Amino acid sequence: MTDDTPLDPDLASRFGALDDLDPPDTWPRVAPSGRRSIMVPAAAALLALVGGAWIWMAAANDDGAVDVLDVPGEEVDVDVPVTPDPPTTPGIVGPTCSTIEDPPLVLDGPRSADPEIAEQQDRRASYGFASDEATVEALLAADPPVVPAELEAVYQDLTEGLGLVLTADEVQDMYERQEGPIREQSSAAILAFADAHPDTYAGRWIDQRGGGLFTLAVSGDREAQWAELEPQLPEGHRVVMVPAAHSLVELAALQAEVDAVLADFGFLGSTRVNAVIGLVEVGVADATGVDVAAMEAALADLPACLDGDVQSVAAPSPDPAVPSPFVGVRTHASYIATDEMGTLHVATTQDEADALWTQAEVDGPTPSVDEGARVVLRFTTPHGACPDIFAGLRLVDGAHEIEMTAAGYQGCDAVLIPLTYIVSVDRGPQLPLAAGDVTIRLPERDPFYDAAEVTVTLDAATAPGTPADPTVPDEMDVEPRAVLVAPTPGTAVAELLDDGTPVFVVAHHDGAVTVVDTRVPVAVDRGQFNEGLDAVRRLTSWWGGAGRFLGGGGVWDSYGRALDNGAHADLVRHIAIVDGDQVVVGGPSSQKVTGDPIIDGPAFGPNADPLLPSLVSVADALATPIGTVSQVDAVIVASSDDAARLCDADVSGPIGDHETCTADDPVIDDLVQPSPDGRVWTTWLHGPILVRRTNTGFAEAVAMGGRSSSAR
Amino acid sequence: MMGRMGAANVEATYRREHQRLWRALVAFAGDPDVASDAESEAFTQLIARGDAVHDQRAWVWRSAFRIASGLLATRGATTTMGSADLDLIDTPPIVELLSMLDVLTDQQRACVTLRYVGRFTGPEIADLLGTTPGTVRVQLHHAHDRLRQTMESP
Repeated sequence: MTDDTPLDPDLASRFGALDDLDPPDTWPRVAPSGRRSIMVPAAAALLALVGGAWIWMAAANDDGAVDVLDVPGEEVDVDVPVTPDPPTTPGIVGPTCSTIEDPPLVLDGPRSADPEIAEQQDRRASYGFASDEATVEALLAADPPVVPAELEAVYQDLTEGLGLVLTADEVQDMYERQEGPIREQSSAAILAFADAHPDTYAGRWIDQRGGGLFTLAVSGDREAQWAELEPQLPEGHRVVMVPAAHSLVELAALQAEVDAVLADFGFLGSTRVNAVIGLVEVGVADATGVDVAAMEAALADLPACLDGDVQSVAAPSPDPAVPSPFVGVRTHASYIATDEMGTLHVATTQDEADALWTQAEVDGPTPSVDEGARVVLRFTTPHGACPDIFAGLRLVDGAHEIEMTAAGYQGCDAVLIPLTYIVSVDRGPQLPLAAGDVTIRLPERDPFYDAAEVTVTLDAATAPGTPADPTVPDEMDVEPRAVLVAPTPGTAVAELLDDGTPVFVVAHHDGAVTVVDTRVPVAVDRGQFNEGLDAVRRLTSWWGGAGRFLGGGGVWDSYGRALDNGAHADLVRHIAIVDGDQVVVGGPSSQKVTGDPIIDGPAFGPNADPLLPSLVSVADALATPIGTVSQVDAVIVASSDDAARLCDADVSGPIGDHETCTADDPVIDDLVQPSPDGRVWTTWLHGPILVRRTNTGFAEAVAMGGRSSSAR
Repeated sequence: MMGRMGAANVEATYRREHQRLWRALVAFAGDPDVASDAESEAFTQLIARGDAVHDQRAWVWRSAFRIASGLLATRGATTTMGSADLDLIDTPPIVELLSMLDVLTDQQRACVTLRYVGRFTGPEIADLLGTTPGTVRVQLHHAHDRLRQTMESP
């Protein structure tokens, strides 16, 4: 950190108290219907509805700006959008919110050729100030205005926050728009009016382009309502009343109607009232598996617009030469480079992949080339302090170029850190399936290195699109580990095997059943925050709407096959034999599910989080039979000069207090990786921790808490 | 528009940022409900934007704080903290911390919270709050002064 205010130790200690707060789960829930559950109390829901317009309008800005939220109170500054005719493009519901555009900005005269002046013209026009070139040029050349002391903070916000160049009178004007006494009195009158007219009140906002007009929307008899409101407004007010097709109450009722209509579609998203455009907006985050055309038809007679990813799942890739990023790629390891920057190694056989992995001196399972259906790469490239992400291969000038996505956060571009990645790419999505030579290229990065290319010869691989063949039954060659009730086809349920292992049981639409371990496979991420604890896992959750598992940054299909870059390997699939309405579950299956992972598959039933064994103490977990999975109220304490140990959860507080975790505490066998460069470190990972009992202690740790500390 | 893999990326961001972000929002808003609503809303909007957001972490922190500001402005006039809220934060050190922070202005509280809980640098805080690093330094300085006075007072 540079140029930074140092932390006050006493204050830092006080803030440490917050570590005792257990955050609730605030992840936007997808209800069985696919809609986000209401997460605010009823009292707040109404307030959120009133305020919802401005929050939503903030969301509607393409540039991500949410500066309207800085406006005190509930009014916002918006440009009233224009609602177009419903589009006729197949697969898109009309109107989509994105087609509801702001009216064009009107300047007082032509836009200047000088970009600085032109930009200021636009800014001033968007707040209703004079925007002709001569005025703006003069303002830019003038000294800053002298403003009263009480307006200095306002002036600072306007200039530094909004980038406006203003006269002293205009600063006063903006103050009155945002927080002056006239505004407050106007707001009070409008609020009282809204309370008295819930059946016609339709929202309020500030029309900044119009000069800061406090705009009140009403349905019904506008003249009569204005006659009632106007006497209550202060002298010099800027309130205008505009007509609305629906009151907020009506829109809320329509929202409920839209929710009901969409209940069966299972998309990821939510509905929201937008008072400014008088519509119910349906925010669609993911429509995978959703019959968009049917959704269109269902909403045809309702004042609703769709926003987000409303593309049909059947939409073809526009260019098969350009694979979808993150599909069919896995990152098996990333660590501070051991290779020179700009080096590239390619493995097409398992022996080559083994060698590539061994040379890197990383632990964990060797990436599989999957009988020639996958290619493993190791390459080294520099980045800033925020590691880039491997996105896939892109065909450029006849070569398949490695494509990275930059994290790009402020401060991440200054420090150059060489990182070695070991990744695998599926043929089909990323490389040709036909036999032949392919060239893989690590593009040049000026001035650090020139492009590196490796040409390899590939044999023909299995054609894509081969359907998964779950009809080949597993054979139970070991003692069953559980007998579970078979879910209804098209649903998935969380279960525990007899030894406590958390699994998901997926009943596919065709009646086949898949049982997968809920634990996310491990990826080596050496040198990151939890140094040495590379093998700590996370759990997946089941996303029914898309028929996928999510967890630890990865995505898997309903058979547990890795779908994206964050999924370092397939989920462990268990032998599962359907016997009437029961599923007999065995150990890990060696049978491969053939075919490509299902990227766009049918929707399933409700989402589910994994089941977990009851929380027990370390001593109780130690008393279980070998092989038992327990959820332990414990902390993992690891250091470079000792094994990782599972210690009672009362081990807390600052680094250095881990004396209560002693050499007598049980070891987690497979957790600590040695520091490659001999660094000395200590790491804590707070629980609960899911572990499996071994003959020497525990293994297969899964962090259920997440708070961690580290020191070197 | 969000790619279909985008939700997973957001989920990863959520896993990484959730605890710190929620605690920072509690410190900023003094209200667990506001913190939860603001965080949930920010992630809902992030999901909707998906791949269009280049830096999800910065975006969600910035948005959550601004949404919390908006919720506070709205709720402050009409609601009081419910008993459920108090149950969540009834640990004396936390009550004391929130009480201390209450003496700060909104911007000071935002700066100090982002610095101490979010562990952001001054320039990063400036970026998140849409202000300048110099302003952040000044706000942190004033916040430190006021908080020290509060801590030293009997």
